[in-house]
Amino acid sequence: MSEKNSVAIGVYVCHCGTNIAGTVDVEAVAAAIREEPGVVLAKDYKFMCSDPGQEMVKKDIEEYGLDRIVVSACSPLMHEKTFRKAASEAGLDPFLVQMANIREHCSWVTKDKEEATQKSIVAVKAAVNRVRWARPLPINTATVEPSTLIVGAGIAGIQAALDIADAGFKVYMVEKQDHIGGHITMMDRVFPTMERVNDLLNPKINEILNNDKIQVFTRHEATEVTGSVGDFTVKIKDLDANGASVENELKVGTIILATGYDMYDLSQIEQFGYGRLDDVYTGIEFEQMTRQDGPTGGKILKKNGEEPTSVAILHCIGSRDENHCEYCSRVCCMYSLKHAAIIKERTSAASYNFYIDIRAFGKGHEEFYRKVSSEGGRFIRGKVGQVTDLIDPELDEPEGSLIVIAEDTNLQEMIRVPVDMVILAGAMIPSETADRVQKMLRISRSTDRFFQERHPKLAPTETATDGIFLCGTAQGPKDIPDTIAQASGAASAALRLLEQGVVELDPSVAVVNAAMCTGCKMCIEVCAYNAIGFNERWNIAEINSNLCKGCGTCAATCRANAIESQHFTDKQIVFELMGLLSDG
Amino acid sequence: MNQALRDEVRKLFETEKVKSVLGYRQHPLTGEVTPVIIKSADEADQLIFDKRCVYNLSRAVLADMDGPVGVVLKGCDGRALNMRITENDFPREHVVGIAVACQGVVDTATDDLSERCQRCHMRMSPIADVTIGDESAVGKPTKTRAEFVDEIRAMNPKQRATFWKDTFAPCTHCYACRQACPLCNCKVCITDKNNPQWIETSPKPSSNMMWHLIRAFHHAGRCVDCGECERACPEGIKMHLLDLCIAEDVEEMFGFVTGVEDGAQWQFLLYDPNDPDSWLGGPERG
Ligand SMILES: Cc1cc2nc3c(=O)[nH]c(=O)nc-3n(C[C@H](O)[C@H](O)[C@H](O)COP(=O)(O)OP(=O)(O)OC[C@H]3O[C@@H](n4cnc5c(N)ncnc54)[C@H](O)[C@@H]3O)c2cc1C
Ligand code: SF4
Ligand code: SF4
Ligand code: SF4
Ligand code: SF4
Ligand code: SF4
Ligand code: SF4
Repeated sequence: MSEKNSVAIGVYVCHCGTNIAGTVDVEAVAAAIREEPGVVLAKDYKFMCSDPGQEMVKKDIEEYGLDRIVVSACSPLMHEKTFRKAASEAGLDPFLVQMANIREHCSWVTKDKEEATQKSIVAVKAAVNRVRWARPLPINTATVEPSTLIVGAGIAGIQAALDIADAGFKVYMVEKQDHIGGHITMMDRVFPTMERVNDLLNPKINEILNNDKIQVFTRHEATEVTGSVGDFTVKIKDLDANGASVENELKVGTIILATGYDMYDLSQIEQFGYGRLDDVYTGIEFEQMTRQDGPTGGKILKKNGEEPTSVAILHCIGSRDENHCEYCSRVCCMYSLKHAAIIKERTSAASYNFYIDIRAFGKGHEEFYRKVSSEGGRFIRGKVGQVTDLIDPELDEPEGSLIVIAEDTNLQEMIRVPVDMVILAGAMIPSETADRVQKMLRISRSTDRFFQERHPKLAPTETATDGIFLCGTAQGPKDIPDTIAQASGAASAALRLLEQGVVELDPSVAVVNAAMCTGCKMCIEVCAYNAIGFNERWNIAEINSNLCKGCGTCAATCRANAIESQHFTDKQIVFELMGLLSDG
Repeated sequence: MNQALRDEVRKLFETEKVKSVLGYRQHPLTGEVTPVIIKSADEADQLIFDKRCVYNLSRAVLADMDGPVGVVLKGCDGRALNMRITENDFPREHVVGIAVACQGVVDTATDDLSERCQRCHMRMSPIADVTIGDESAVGKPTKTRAEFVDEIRAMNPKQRATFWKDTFAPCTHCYACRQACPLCNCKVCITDKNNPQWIETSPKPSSNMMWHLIRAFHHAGRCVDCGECERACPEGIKMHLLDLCIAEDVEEMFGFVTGVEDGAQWQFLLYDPNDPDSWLGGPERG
């Protein structure tokens, strides 16, 4: 608390070239604000964010003993950091700086100079009112445990683990299956290069198993995560413990989510006969058939042990379909082409790809498509309506075949194609563990139910929770190269924290006033960040400031008025409102 | 009824299931029916229950009372107690519910069945460790809640604003309504906070409106319609109508009635993507 009662506020009104000054009478704004109580000086200036602009603020702080700063300029998203930094360089706590947005909120939304000026005056008054009650907020730091937990050991988790271990940090991998590698261990070849999965994967698996920085827990799942960035405590459970709960506790500084995908249950889409008709396979089942160690020793065989003479490959089954998964699964077109290539290589069967459109945007994908189609694969543009074993005797359809009924949209007619094997390129969906994982970590999922990144463009490997990152198909359907790229991205984001060793914690968090709390626990229920705990002894809620994001939901929920957000106190808000509601 | 109640309470003391009991008695001198706390089996004979037992005794339970505390509960009182347990005011084990078959209580001024009882369709307490009287004889409501609020809901916004302004006009900010409410359990009420002061203490249209709107919002999804607030008001203000309007909305939109089920009952904390949100273009109410 400052010793003197009065404040000394400096107000700066920025022209932003003509961006603001073209519509707002900046001099009038400064003149109006100069009369406000506590305002020591009010200046207008061409570009506040420029070096001379910042220098002016610093100099005034020293010369006039300013202890509060209001910059009336652009959005705080743009330059709040700039002015906070300038103030702190002049010895003023950065939280004593307030911005008033007179550009996006005033000059850019009207051409009426008078109205824009009036609104600017009101906005600056509100900022002056608010900053009067601002308090310095100390920035705390927390040390970062030099280790990472990776949930899921598919190719995404493997890549991230190697990157982090190579940088010298400890990695714990938790994998629910009895082996690592994830879905690609069920495949023989990968598009578009047709390399063998074993050649790609085995060296990486060996590296993992031989790296003493990496500890792998197969047949384990994480059950509980507490703590916050830099200092998570994770409980993991042995899935084979047969009820005897063998639990381990790990301490980690960061967490990478790499739980991957599962396949949409195609028996839910009855018209394609999956689960009902013989020789209708999912893409993954076909992949398994192509492996030397698979059920047929790598041969493409029908259920009766004979080689097929014709195979239909149906794209977009469940994907891009309002009734099932609205999104595109992004890899089906390409793995369907791969399936056609393998059929061509290993059998003399004809293949038919039924597609809506071929999505071949990846590196080498278009070339792969050309190659497969030029080598005799047939492509029929049209979505299949049905697969049936009811042959039409009048059409000479062979006994025992599967009839694929589709509309050929190029020819604009219904066609029936008899084949003796069908492969369904089914949709990818989030891992069956996603609900549990979401609950455990309290992170969001997007409308497609995959885990949600902090920002689709600017922060694709982070979650909204500090210290928790994500990569691979846990975040959305993608192929191996994209998975690897994102995994390395997530690893380097995690490494940034591990290498710094400390994190700065934003002090604008909520705090519970113990004397007012009735212990109703409502705040705990609403906090999206799992930041509130409960003190059973005193029957009060307690906020973990490391986890709190300062969103204010708890403060708004608490009818007992026991919670206040540090940088948004009731007092600040009330005074800000009074400024906004003043006559200007 | 009274004999059964006394016998049961005596038994509770004798078997050490309770340390004290909150109930009603008729005052030996004034003849008035008032709440009473008894601490031994010997005192059980003064207990009564009849249509004059208007108080909601769940309000009187304190966490630091010598427990377990037996509480004589009508339906509405039990729902309120249930909410207080949901909100962690004290643990369930702290109370022993003595549920009485309630046939309604009267407005003591007129001896008519009180309004809350006219519309009450849950006359047995959901918290019932022991039950006194014949559950099947509690009778049915003579009115629906809608009958009390339909008229207000039919008004246009302007008429409504005038209606509420007029309704709250006589308010003197005595806060008896708050003191009577079992769910006004805050340590410091928002209206007593003065830094900043959200609600001006002197009565005038703006501060009346502010007080009653905040009060009603604080009861959304929590108010159990025990009617104690209105009964307490020295000015006869029907401020609880606003709680009722909200309760009607809550039930219509979310199918939720406060206090009737076991376990957590925080309608306003639960989010479901299918919740009605006609104002955001989502599913319509109902
Ligand atoms: C039929 C088909 C063919 C494909 N062919 C190709 C191809 O040729 N080329 C190509 O580039 N891409 C191909 N793909 C895409 C490729 O499979 C994915 O890009 C890749 O497997 C994604 O790896 P991942 O690590 O994200 O997920 P996954 O491989 O699914 O790995 C996730 C791992 O996490 C584990 N896990 C999940 N939840 C938990 C939990 N809670 N706790 C512990 N462990 C957990 C799982 O058991 C699994 O091991 C194909 C996809 C399909 C469906
Ligand atoms: S909502 Fe308020 S009163 Fe309830 S537990 Fe949280 S801080 Fe305490
Ligand atoms: S401010 Fe938001 S993040 Fe912080 S404790 Fe409250 S609800 Fe949770
Ligand atoms: S509201 Fe219902 S339970 Fe309460 S006194 Fe009236 S009838 Fe009884
Ligand atoms: S607001 Fe009134 S009716 Fe509702 S619980 Fe409180 S006292 Fe009872
Ligand atoms: S009116 Fe609101 S703040 Fe006041 S006691 Fe009631 S619930 Fe608490
Ligand atoms: S009891 Fe009546 S007069 Fe008193 S505050 Fe409540 S509504 Fe106003």
